[in-house]
Amino acid sequence: MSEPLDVDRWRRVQELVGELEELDSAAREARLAALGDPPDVLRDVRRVLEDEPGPPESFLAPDVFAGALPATSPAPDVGARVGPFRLQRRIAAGGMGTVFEAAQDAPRRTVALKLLSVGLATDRARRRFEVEAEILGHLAHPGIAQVYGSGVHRDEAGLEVPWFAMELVPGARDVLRHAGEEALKPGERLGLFREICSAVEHGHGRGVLHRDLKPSNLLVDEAGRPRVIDFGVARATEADLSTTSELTGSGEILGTVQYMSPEQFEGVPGALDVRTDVYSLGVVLYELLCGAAPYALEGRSIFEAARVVREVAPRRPSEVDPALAGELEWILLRALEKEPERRYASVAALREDIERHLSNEPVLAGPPSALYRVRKFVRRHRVSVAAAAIVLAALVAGAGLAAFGLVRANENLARVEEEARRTGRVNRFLSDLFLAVAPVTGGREVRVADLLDQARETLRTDLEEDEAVRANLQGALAGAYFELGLFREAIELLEPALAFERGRLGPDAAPVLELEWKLEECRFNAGSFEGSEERMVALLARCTAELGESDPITMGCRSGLGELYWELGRLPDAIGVMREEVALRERFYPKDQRNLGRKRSFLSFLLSRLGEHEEAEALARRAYDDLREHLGDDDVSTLYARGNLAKIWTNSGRYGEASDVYRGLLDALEGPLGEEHPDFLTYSFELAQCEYFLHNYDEAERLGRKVLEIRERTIEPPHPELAADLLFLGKVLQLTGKLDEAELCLEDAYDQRLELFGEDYERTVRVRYTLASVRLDRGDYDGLEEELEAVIESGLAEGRPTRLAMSACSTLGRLHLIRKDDEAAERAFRRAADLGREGLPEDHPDQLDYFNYHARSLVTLKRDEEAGALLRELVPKLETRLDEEHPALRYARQSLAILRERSTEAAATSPEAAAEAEGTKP
Amino acid sequence: MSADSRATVLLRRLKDGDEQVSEELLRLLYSELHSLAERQMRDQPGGHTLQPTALVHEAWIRLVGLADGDGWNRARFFTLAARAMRSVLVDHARRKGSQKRGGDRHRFTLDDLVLRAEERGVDLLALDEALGDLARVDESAAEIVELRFFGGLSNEEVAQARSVSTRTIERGWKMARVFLHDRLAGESA
Repeated sequence: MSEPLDVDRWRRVQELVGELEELDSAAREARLAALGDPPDVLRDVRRVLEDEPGPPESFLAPDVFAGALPATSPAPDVGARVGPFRLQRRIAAGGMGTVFEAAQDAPRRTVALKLLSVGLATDRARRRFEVEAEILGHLAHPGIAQVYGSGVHRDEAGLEVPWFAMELVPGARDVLRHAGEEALKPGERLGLFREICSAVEHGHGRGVLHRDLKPSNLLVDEAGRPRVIDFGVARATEADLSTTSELTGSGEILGTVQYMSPEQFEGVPGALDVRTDVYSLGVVLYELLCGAAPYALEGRSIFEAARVVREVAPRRPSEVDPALAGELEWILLRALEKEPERRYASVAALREDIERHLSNEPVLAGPPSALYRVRKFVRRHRVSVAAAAIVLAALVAGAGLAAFGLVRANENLARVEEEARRTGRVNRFLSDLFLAVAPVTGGREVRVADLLDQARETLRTDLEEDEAVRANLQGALAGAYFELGLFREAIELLEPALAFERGRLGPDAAPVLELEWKLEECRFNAGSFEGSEERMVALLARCTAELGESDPITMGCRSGLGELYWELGRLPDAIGVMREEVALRERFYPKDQRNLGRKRSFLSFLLSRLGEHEEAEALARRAYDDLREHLGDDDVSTLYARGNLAKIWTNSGRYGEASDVYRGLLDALEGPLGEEHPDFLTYSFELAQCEYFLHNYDEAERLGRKVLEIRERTIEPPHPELAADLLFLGKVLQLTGKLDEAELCLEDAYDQRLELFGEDYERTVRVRYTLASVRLDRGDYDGLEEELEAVIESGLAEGRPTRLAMSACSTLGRLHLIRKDDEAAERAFRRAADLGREGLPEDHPDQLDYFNYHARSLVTLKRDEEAGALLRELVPKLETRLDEEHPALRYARQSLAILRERSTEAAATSPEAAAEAEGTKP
Repeated sequence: MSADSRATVLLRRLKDGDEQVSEELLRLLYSELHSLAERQMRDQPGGHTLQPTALVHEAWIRLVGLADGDGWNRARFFTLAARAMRSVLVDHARRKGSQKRGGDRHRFTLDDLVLRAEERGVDLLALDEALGDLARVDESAAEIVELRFFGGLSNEEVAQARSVSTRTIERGWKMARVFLHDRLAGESA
């Protein structure tokens, strides 16, 4: 026991420390001497102020956990032998390992030997390393440092350290240093870069990605020839950013972040392809040409840096050096696109474009196109039906003007038309847009953005003479960009429009407030939330004061605030604001069905996110019914409102109804969207799942196959969605008895999830379990017990046992039964029952199933007394829950019947047993 | 729902001030740190990266992702993670005391941490108890120790997480060192 704690005494120490801290040492001593506190208090105050608690000096230093372990032997150093090499000199040390100059006797040569700092603990990691190292040995290109050999060094303590021996590049400097020190001209830099590209292409041709291209891996020898080092090393050791812990703040990692492609931050190493190397090369080229990196990452945290790389556009090269404007800038920006599909498809394509530039042919890269941005918008909005409903309603079915945000609501139409009439110019401009948008109803949203870009260009050049008209149209066009999710373009248009209107009309005029609101919405939609809430709240108050609570601008501002809260994850606040919005709409704008429906759908979506299923459903239904009544069944607003309703039903287990809805929806959407559209696939998958839960396995199989087939065509494995499709189809095929195929699907799903999430992840374990159960069904028992044990173990890791662990126990029991090991079966079922008791609510159907199995296994072992006790409890419960014909009830009664039979036989010899048999009657 | 989005959602809900959420997040972190420690042991027998700081950072990356970090989330996350780390280590030290070291290879990794602390004269169980005492005198000083010692945060990071000046954190830390030094000395005496 420690001595009793004198809280007051310590509080006094603390108080004095606070008081004395500010004083210099003389004043401190004077004050201390004047105090009447006991000497031990004063002593402790001194100790705190001087930060001298007592020995050891490092007391409580957080690095107590760091440092070498007693069992760890030091890494090999100069003088040591590694494979056939003797380490001679340390060249460099970094996060991935240490590089030595090392000598080999036969053949006599000096090499660069890299000892990696990651161990290879598992057989799998070791095999992986061997396979990759073998491939690397086969890369032979004058621009790639040759790998002479590799191996695993095992030291006395049994620690295994993988190593590579590589060609030593004499007089090597990294490419940036070389270019700088040799003062290479731009043309020479491009030439050097071309050679680097060729080397990387060679690796890609052999199926090896570099994955860590950065200046320090791009060396140039004395003769000025480039040499790429560390090709594929990252892969061979799985030492990717996502699996290393060394990103805890060291500058080294930050140096690497600059060259990492946005997708490398996703943490799915297997999902990378050649375009990740295209990106990194793009960064290197950028630095070679601009003399600076594309992103300012200095002084940022790793998280912040990652965000910048993923979200912020690189500095335009022409801003750094105007001479780069045009082709070189296009080439750089194309290589640095955030989305891999927007980049050059290969390093060769990048190199060829550079060659085109050098020979004055037109390059393939051009300014970023609108087409892509719209695609991205469609992808981004796939996540939520509600969001898609909002956007599509505006885009596709919107009555022209409303679609472009030109008319905030019907009531406001007059004002805009008034302005429009003021100059014939505006009118023509609008009708041109309007006419051109019409074909969009066919589902080709792409044209909208093309058109907008055109309109923006026209605006820039044509309307110089009338600034008022221009500001008006800028606002309108910004609204259109906004609906398309192109916020940056919208902001660019809104800022000058706002400045102009504020000067013309004063700070509180309606159009000024409206522009402010739009600008604010654009900003937070573009991801800059700082100060957003304060500004939106203040703006809403100003709108309410100036225009009234039900003015369309006030309304828009309010629902903007609702969306802001949702973005900020503040569900209750978002719901509060949207409730108000919907109520006001119902009161003041009951006829504007489209907007009312939209807001109701959004509110219902928020409510279901909060788990308020009933209210969510009522509201979603109301939105749907009203839209249907006013706009008809086939209006796109109605369709998406219906999808929203079905999703809410699926969430609360009403599969039958949801299934009908999805079916109708798919019929209606196939025409306008096409079957490859993400929304179409999402609804198809939702439908397949409903059918599965409804036990319509054949239909679920048909749909599952269709979705998988389309997705396999459109996305690359490994991918979470592909894995989900495969798992789903595997489960369905198991139920429809196509076990061989089920196994194939599940193995594929397992590999993908393993690569995506790792072995211990719940989702990976889930596939592993399903695969085991399919093997059981197939009669393939080899290694099955170990598989199931592994599943159980990981299901117990979290404290409370998972359902998966219970299922695996019960499956293990079945396996033992099949193998006629009744004792083991009983143990497994008992374990399932115990876990069920611990981890499930009382009388959960699964729990009762486990009791049922366990009881039968006890019967088999002739442990009648235990079995009887269990069954007497179980059967009445089943009787109240299940109908007479239910297999579970029949199974339990059968067990009971066996017991009775036995005891009747025994009754002849033992009266107690007969009494026991009496007791088992229900 | 997958663990990663679960953590993100929980962090969001935490912003709403839902206290149950921090409990759930704490549980999630506890198991994540536990399994990470074991995974690291399997992958990296050298053990040189197995430090609470590294574990906590990796837990963040696995649970929330690299991209998802605004300042608030991170501060809350690390506060909770430091607490979870404390529980993981103290629980382990406790179990280890009551059990003979078994043949379970996976356990070694946490053993190692406990061992390293012991070798440097830190008895985690005693420290845990002393931290409880410190919390009675000055709760924020106890939290500072948690963040620095178990979460591996620097004074500046702690200050950021708690939105106070670095100076305040330094004072709390110095105070805590003296207090804990005495309590722990009393323990071993």
